[in-house]
Amino acid sequence: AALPGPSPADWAQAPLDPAVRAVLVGFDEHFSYAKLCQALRYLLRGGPDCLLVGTNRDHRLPLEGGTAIPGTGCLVKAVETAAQREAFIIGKPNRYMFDCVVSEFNIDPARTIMVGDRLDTDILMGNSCGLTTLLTLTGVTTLDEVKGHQESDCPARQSLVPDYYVDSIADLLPALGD
Amino acid sequence: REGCGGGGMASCRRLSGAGLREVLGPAQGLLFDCDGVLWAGERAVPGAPELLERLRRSGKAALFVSNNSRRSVAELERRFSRLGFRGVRAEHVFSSALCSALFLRQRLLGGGGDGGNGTGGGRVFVLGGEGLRGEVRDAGLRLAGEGEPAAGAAEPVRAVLVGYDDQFTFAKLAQACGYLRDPQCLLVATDPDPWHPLSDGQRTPGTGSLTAAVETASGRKALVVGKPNTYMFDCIVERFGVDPSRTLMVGDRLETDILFGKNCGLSTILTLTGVSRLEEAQAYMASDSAAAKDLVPNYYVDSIADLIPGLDE
Repeated sequence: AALPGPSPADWAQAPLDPAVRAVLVGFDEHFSYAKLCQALRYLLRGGPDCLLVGTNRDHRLPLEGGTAIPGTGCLVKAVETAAQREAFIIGKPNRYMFDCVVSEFNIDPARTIMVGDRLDTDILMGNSCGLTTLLTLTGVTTLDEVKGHQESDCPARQSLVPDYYVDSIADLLPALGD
Repeated sequence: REGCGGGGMASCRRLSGAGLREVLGPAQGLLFDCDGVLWAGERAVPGAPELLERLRRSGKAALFVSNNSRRSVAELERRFSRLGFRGVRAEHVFSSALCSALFLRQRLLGGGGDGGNGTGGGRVFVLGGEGLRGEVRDAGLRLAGEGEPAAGAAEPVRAVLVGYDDQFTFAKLAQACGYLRDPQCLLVATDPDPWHPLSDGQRTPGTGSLTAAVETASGRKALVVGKPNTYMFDCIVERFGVDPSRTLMVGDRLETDILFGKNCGLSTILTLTGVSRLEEAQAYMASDSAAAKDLVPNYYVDSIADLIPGLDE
């Protein structure tokens, strides 16, 4: 909806949709201060009756060539800071998505392998949910990073260490029958 | 009389009657926050202009220290006048916009006008409005334009400055992160405020929320110029040489103004015409946490007009 007037004091007068009961923060390349204002208004109006949900906390989205753009986590943090509230995060490493999978399919964690390239999302979720974890090195993580966590005394860092790693998931092929 | 922000916890006593004279009498000067203390929106707090006038007549200094990074000190001088405050000049006003510019001038240009390597200190990418941009320019720094490539042939960007930016966008966030990939590029924020009150009781997001986005994307921690950090007090001392043991800090926000006073060794007075409620101060006082105790003011008043009886006729 168009915002009345050019300034935040004007935007704060725009009518709020009475039916809104949740603010959902996802990846938004059109994120703006105006949207942040509106999110804050809904959260203050609703208090605990208005949910604050974030799709994930990734800091950065890597692009080809080694650069990266800001991730959803940045936008979630902006809303959380303004509202002085913590968002419920759907994505890894939180377990909600695993719970969704389990409710749809009959998963035995002891016989399920989580395969991912990120320690603080994929591997952490897998470890937290009792899955066997397999790191592939075709993505953002290097073996040196893993070694650093493995050698650390910190239990939080230890939970980032996968059970196994491969250079690429193609390396799994020989183990599978014809 | 209570200790001046040194050892021991403050006890949040109402200032009135004889206590008022005991506290104000020895004070050489007062530092005032502006929003929620002197004015709320376009309306002066009733009695505030008279208080400043009485301070002047009592020979006590009044200086102003504000986290608001929207306006230049020249605009603030006009605002004081428009709202009925007499005799306040730009040189008395320390805003986070001004102090961020002074900070960047120190860090990028050093003592003189050169970065020490002949490049003139480099450019500053500012996330903020015209008031903030003007202060940065007035400090002798050059601004990076918007929509430029992160690594161009132009002079390198040596600092990203995050202020109150109601035109903040994802694109600007991405551009800031591009500059911050250079570990030599500073990340500076004007203030940490998460939100500001609007006159109808609603809130608008503050610099703190934008800084959180930039910090998360860049993996860097910002240097925060504004209260409760003490840099703005250093600027005040450099220009006016105030004695903290004879200076009172008056503010409306416990987490910024009162903590700032504590950090600078000033006795603090909370005024209730702004953000913080008395119950919040009392909750901090009752808390077990050492950090919470630093947020308790020495004194409180319902409004700064209540200070008037403490001054000589």
